[in-house]
Amino acid sequence: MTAVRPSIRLEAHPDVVLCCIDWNMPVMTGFEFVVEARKRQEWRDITLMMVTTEGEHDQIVRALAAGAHEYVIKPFTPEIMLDKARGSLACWTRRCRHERRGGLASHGGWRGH
Amino acid sequence: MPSRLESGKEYLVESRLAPLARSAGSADVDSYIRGLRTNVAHHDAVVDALTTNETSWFRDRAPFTALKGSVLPDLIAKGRRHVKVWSAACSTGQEAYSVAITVADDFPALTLSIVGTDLSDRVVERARAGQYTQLEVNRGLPAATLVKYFQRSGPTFEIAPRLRQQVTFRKHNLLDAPPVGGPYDVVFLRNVLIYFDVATKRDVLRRVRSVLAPGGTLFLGAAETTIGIDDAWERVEAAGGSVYRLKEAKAA
Amino acid sequence: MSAVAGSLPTVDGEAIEAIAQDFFATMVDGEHGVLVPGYGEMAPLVDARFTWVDVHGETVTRVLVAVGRSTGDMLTRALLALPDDAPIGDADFADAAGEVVNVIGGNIKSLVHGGGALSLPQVADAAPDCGGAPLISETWFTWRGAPLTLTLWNLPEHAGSAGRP
Ligand SMILES: C[S@@+](CC[C@H](N)C(=O)[O-])C[C@H]1O[C@@H](n2cnc3c(N)ncnc32)[C@H](O)[C@@H]1O
Repeated sequence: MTAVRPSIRLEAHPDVVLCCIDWNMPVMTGFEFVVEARKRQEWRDITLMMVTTEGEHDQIVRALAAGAHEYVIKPFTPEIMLDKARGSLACWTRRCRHERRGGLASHGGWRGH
Repeated sequence: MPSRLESGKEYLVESRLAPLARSAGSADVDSYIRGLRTNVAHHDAVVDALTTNETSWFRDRAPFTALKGSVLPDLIAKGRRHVKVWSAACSTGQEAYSVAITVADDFPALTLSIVGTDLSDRVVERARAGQYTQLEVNRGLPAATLVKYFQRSGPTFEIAPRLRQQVTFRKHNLLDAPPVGGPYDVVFLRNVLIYFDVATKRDVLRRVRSVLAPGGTLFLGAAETTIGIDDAWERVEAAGGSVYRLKEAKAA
Repeated sequence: MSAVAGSLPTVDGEAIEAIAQDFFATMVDGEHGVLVPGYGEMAPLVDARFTWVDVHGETVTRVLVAVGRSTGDMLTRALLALPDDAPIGDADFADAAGEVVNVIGGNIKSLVHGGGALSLPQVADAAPDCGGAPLISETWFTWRGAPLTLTLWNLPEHAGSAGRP
């Protein structure tokens, strides 16, 4: 699946509300993914959360500026994930006028191949 | 705390004391423990190794929502431009710094002095240093806040000096007289009363009363209450969180 | 500060230990104290597997984890939350081993001067060719009674697998 761009996978799942993205991935970096995802009008309601071992100050700033809502530095515990996901989904819910139900998606980081 | 371990968790004692046993040159944990009866010098280290210092940024959220939505606005409405806070049993300082961040974000005109205290030398030192590991900054700290108020320094994240300057950390035992520097407008006393028996809880709450400013606010942990322990307090709802205040007659 | 030619970069061994232990405590074991620094004589790795990432900074630092295959299988089950008796195929093993070194390597990046891009993880049955590169740090642990090593190598410039910006 090396050539599959993560963005294409998302299209097959219109119910996705949260997308967890690693920085280090084959094909494109998580940062590039955030930039691309934010250009798409139809995805503006998806919460984007970076989940990565990369934790430089500058990287976090860039990811947030590009449109990621949250940033979790690995390692994390289940509580940390839930807390961060809840926090960023709460922002999303506030933005979203109509109720929508959906699942959680994770883009498997460098394991995408 | 030490005396109340769930059964099946004994190995935790073993794993927490093993490093101490090794650095003391004991053959194993058992012989280290036997040696403790005579070697008082090691007691602090043992208490420290067995004490839970668990904490996080904006822990439980609700107290900080109440601080921002009600407690601080009320103080400002009364004309206050400086606020004094005591973060009691502050562990590694996240609670105290969370208060500083709340004020910096939402009440920039307010000046602040925070006293953070804890029984353990080790955590007080860590709080003072204001340096947190990657794992620690993950717990409860929104990424936007992290990049705004922290700088990376090697493997740790360091709190901004302008926030650190607002907080003084000191070693202090809650069973002793309260720290000087009061009266405090806001006292955080969270997730520590649970470790005490009722008489001690009452004692500690009484001491807190003596340094609480008139109309001052007490925050307890989510599983803690004054009800049935010290009747001088009443529970008040404040912007979605529960806080404790001294009843009118006593506060006057 | 730049590394003086001829002298090896130094890294904080205690910090490396803490990074590995935090990773295991959170994502593998759910508690501290299962991955412990080894002392005394290290037992040999049985049917060893190797996994590594390269940190591109002022120089290239290779972060290499070695573990016996059956220990690695246990580690895979723990990390991927699989049942105790789940058979572990090479793909799952590579996933888990790669995750271990990705997280540990990425965290170690903060200890390395000018730490920049991180390569994607590699997994192999044999130790990678480090081209005679000097060892800059060596730590070994026991995890559930079996050994696991974590070593850092100072690779010559322009060596190593490509990183990403
Ligand atoms: C679970 S932590 C709570 C930290 C923080 N207040 C919070 O809620 O996140 C409990 C802290 O209480 C401290 N402690 C325990 N007994 C104490 C005492 N008698 N006096 C002062 N601090 C004490 C411990 O050292 C530990 O740091």
